[in-house]
Amino acid sequence: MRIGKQMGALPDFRTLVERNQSMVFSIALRALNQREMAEDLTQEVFLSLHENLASIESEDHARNWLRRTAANRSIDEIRRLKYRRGPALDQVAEPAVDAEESDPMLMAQLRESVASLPPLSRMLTIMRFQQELEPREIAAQLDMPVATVKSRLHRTMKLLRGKLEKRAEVRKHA
Amino acid sequence: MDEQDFEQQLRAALRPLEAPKGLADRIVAKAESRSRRNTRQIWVRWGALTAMLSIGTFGGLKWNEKRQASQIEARRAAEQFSIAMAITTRKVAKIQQNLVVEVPLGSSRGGQ
Repeated sequence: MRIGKQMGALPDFRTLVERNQSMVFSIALRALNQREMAEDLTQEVFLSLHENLASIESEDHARNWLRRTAANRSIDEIRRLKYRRGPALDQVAEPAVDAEESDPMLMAQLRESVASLPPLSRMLTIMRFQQELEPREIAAQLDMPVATVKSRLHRTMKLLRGKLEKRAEVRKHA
Repeated sequence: MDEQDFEQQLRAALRPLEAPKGLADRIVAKAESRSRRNTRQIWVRWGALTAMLSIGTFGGLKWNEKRQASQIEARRAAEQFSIAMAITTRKVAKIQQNLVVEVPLGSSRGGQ
């Protein structure tokens, strides 16, 4: 299955899937906070790529396309399901949590706080702190002004810190 | 926890995860099956289109044939009608001529 306009510049579809599946799955999982839905969304994003391969010119192009599509579809899905708060975190099976996380409780609280954010703020946080994109890159990916990305990220950080401090207070008093 | 520390914790909490095992195989299999289905659908569509065009062409030819036949029929009828009219006109003219010969103009005043 060779693909794309420039045959040499693009690996085949399977290689594209293998190289990018974790990125798409991670965006969807952190946005939807449910493994099964994240897997379904990942499949849909790649099937959509397969249908649009003729317009993909390089591997970088494919990666950006996948990231943008995963982000937009995740936002749509959150809105569709009116996910203000994700399902219980025990539904999210994460491999090697103990080995990689120094403070699992803090990590769980942070993820829960992110999952309670409005769809766009949630996606901006994922793009910034999971995908390590700069605000201008996020703006380009999500078709938003850079200033809006910066101000929303700033507000979101403030909100998340507030939530975390509130939880710490509650825990201290309990 | 300062801002940098908080951001580091957030990065750790949201870190990318490995995709489930076998996901790539499932995606590729689904894409191939969709491709095959699409190819089949294209063939079915082409088949249907060809059948419709054949039916249309055949129907059109038949209709044209019928139209031409009825035009010929109509032309023949018109010719026959005009021949019949010509014959009738000739006959009427002859009768009229005979009437004029048998009844001379002056005969109507003969009794006065």
